[in-house]
Amino acid sequence: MATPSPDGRGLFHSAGTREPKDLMTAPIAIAALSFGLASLNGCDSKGSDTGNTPSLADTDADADADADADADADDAPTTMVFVSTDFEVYSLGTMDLATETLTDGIAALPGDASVQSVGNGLIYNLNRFGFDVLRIYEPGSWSAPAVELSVGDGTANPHDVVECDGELYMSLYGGTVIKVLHPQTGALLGAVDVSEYAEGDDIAEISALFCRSGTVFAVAQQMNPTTWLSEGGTILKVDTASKSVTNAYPVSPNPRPKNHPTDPNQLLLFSGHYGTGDGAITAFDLTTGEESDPIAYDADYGITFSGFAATETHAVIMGTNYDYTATRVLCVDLSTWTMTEGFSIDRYAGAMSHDGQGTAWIGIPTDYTVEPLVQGLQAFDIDSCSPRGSLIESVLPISSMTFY
Amino acid sequence: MTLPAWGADDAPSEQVVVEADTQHEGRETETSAALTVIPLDGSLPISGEVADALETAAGVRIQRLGGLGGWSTVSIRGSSSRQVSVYLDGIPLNPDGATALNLSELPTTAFERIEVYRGNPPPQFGAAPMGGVVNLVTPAKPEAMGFSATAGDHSTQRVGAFGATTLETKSLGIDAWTSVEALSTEGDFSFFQDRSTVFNRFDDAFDVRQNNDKSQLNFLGRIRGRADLGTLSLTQGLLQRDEGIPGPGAAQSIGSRLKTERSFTAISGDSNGPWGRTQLSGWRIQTDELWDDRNGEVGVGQEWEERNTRMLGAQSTTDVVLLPSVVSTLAASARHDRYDRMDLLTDTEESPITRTTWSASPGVRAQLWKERVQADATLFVQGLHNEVFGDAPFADVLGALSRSETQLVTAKPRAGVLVRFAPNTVAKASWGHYLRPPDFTELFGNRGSVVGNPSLLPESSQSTDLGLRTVLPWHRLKMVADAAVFRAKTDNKIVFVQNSQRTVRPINIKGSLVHGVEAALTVELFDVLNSRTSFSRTWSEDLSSAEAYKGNQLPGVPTMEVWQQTALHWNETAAIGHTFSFTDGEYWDRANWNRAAPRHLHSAFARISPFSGGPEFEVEARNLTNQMVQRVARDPLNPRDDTMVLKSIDDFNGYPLPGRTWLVSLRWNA
Repeated sequence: MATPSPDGRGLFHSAGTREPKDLMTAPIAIAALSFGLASLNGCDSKGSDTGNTPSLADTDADADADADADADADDAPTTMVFVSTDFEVYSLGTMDLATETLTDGIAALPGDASVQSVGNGLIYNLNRFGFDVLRIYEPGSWSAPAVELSVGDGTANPHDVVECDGELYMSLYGGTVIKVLHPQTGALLGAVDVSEYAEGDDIAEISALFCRSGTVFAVAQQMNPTTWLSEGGTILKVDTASKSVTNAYPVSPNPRPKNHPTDPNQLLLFSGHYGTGDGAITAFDLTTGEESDPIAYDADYGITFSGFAATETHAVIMGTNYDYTATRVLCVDLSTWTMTEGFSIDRYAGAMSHDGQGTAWIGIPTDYTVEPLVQGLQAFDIDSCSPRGSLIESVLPISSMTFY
Repeated sequence: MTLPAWGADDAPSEQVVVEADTQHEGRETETSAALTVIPLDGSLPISGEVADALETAAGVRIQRLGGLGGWSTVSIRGSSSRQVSVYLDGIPLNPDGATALNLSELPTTAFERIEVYRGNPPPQFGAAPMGGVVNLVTPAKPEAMGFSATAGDHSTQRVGAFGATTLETKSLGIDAWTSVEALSTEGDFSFFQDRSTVFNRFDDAFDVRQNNDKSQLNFLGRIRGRADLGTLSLTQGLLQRDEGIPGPGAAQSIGSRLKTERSFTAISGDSNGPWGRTQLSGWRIQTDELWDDRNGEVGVGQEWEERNTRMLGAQSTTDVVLLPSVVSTLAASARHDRYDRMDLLTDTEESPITRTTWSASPGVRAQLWKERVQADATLFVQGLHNEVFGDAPFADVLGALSRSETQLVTAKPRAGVLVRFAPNTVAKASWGHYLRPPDFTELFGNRGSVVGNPSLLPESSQSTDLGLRTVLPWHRLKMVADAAVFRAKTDNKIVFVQNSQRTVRPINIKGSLVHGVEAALTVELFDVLNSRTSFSRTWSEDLSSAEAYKGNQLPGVPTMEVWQQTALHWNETAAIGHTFSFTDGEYWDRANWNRAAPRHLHSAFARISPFSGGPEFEVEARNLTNQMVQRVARDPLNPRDDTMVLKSIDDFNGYPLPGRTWLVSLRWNA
């Protein structure tokens, strides 16, 4: 039961949660800080697909979650970091994955927030449209970010970060460049000009970034803001040395990329426009720049595909119906791409993330038609296609998740 | 058989206005309604706006988006701005809360007084105003002519003029009155910019408000004929407004614009006789807006559209004397609204949305015990018929007399009592049920940042209040004291919740509870000192069962507000005045994380009129102490972080208010 303290500031706990994390007051600085982390030159950072699958502290080229070159998962993530919000206020919270103890409302965030990890042990909080604020957190030190800086004038709308070749690349959905920052200090190191790839509104709408073998791949949705139809999309190949685009590969409209479950040299692209049924799932080869034929069509399921979480053999796809009044979670056999019904939610839900251990975590929004009003996280086992456990309640709906 | 003298006081007909003109001070002691009458006289600065006058009343809250001429709305006793109905001479400007009216669109110089009904408004004001009524009253006996001009900071200029003429014959009197007002301002005030980085103070700076210019032209005219049979008047108003929409301070827009044109036409007539009195009005209000956000700076993507709203209505009020001490009242109204939208980017026009409403309100008023007790009761029967693209779920409204997928008929009772202990001391109490149907924007959105919700239920509320008012004249001292307690419980309250990065969607929440105490004191001494003080202490509660909101204070409803103005006059030669306002205990959000700092603002004016009957010159300083920042908690969720940071002062979170503003004015009335 959340109980505000007498001065109006509160620490929120989910129903049945344990004690909150011990909060430390950390000095605030924007000067260079030493984090004692190994540099990640030349590694394959899996980047982030805007919150739908996690980036793991993984330095090798295999598909598992640890730093060894074998296929086990010794250093599985232990903690989820999430953003909860009613879109009026935003807060950062955590959940212990072993005990599933959730602590909401640890720290207030500026606004329109998301959280991501890029594999270097830090947590990046992007505060997007209207805020343009980057916060860099050292896990566990949630009372204050190690770095906080403004990255725009309110219109830049930072969407994604990825670490590549020792630098942090940040996409600006409302900007004409990809910013290059120091991963620990946030200092501006350079920029990649992507203005040439704008359509309609002079903005390319770069949403997601990926790093493979020291090369950044930027996914441009190229939306026409009049019609909200994509006049692209395009995947840009960025040379990190010259900070320039060296190739541009046309792909299906409004691409929303995901990490491929088994092949790091491919991406899955969810394409098509929200609420229209014109989308599909394709695979994109990062080495050849070619897009496959559609693997699945969203019209066959009556939803716009949005979320994706996968193991090596199975996946779950989340999508909403065309009037945004219901959300379905479908289970996928990756050997055949056969989809079966997982479960459904009778309202819009958009947050889903994979903890790298076979569980997809789904943010369940508030159902205002049923009393008492609850919201929270639902665990879903990917391989068995079944919900696991009951709803873990949060104080506010969860909109973004990452893991460390 | 004539109407009791008291019976005329709370009807907004023209003739009643004339009768009560010189006695408007007494109106508050003649009605069971919680009424405050605000005279727009020399006690207020020449450069004052309608919003400035309104906030002098206890229980009234004005919220501004920033800058002179900027968007400002009114809420009463913790209501939302949509729940407050605003009338011009009894004609509704935003019936059923069709929209939250922008007070800055109203011409300041056109009115002689403002009536604020905080509770139990008379039947003539319809069934919907659960949040109260603001009635703007034009001059009953306007002066022959007058002129005012203001200039000041941020390239602000306002010019107003009015003129009146009268023609009298043996059997007919005709008077004509017009008021014209023009306003322009750049609104480019400085404000504190923290760039949303509360842990990083290196990027804090003072910025300049962009795209905040306003230019506006207002015309209001009336022709009135008086004869033995009654009075007939024709009123015409025109508004042209062009303004930049700056957006929040953290993400200012450069090119978003809104153009508004409004035409207001009303015809009213009334007649009285031994049998009673009847009043009939018809009106047409046409509002055309051109919203241009082709750069997608404020809304969701590019927007460029025309929005046209037309309201046609008629209302009548008939008082019939049944007995010397009993008057029956029947008020009836009908209205047809139409809303059209044209998307200029795609050159597509949507099907029009229309709505027809009607109401019939039988009531009775009685004076008892030698006129020491006045009791009134009214039953508001309201019908609502939506002819819209899709059905509204009126079948779910509890307590309705009749309901279907497209029609709703409800009956809501109200009652009030006034007890006169002495000629100038009264106690009053009222109780009532109210209903506000969702408006078109709430039901169907605006194809931009507001996503409609056709499943919305009407808001309903039950309000009670108890008050005391006394007027104490003693030699050259006059004191008027008002105090009241009130309680309002709203069910199915409509609130806007964000459901994506840039969109909001209205939903019904379980409800809210607001109760509070109001007090006001006016002191006039030797015709030299005029002092007005109002105070309100409000407790509000969110009745939601959601853990994040349960029991929280309602956002935007401060726990305490004080307004104080003192003016000294030397004959009619000079005057100085000081205004102080204090607000505290306001949360910006439903979760009650972000609390505004206590705010105290001082303003002052000095006026001279060196020549008898000549012009007045005035200098005013708003926000005299240049309050531009407030100290708020850096992280309201971390009890171990007691660091306070600076943030711009605002009414709406993120929309800064200007600092000290100098204005120079000239006024002359013939």
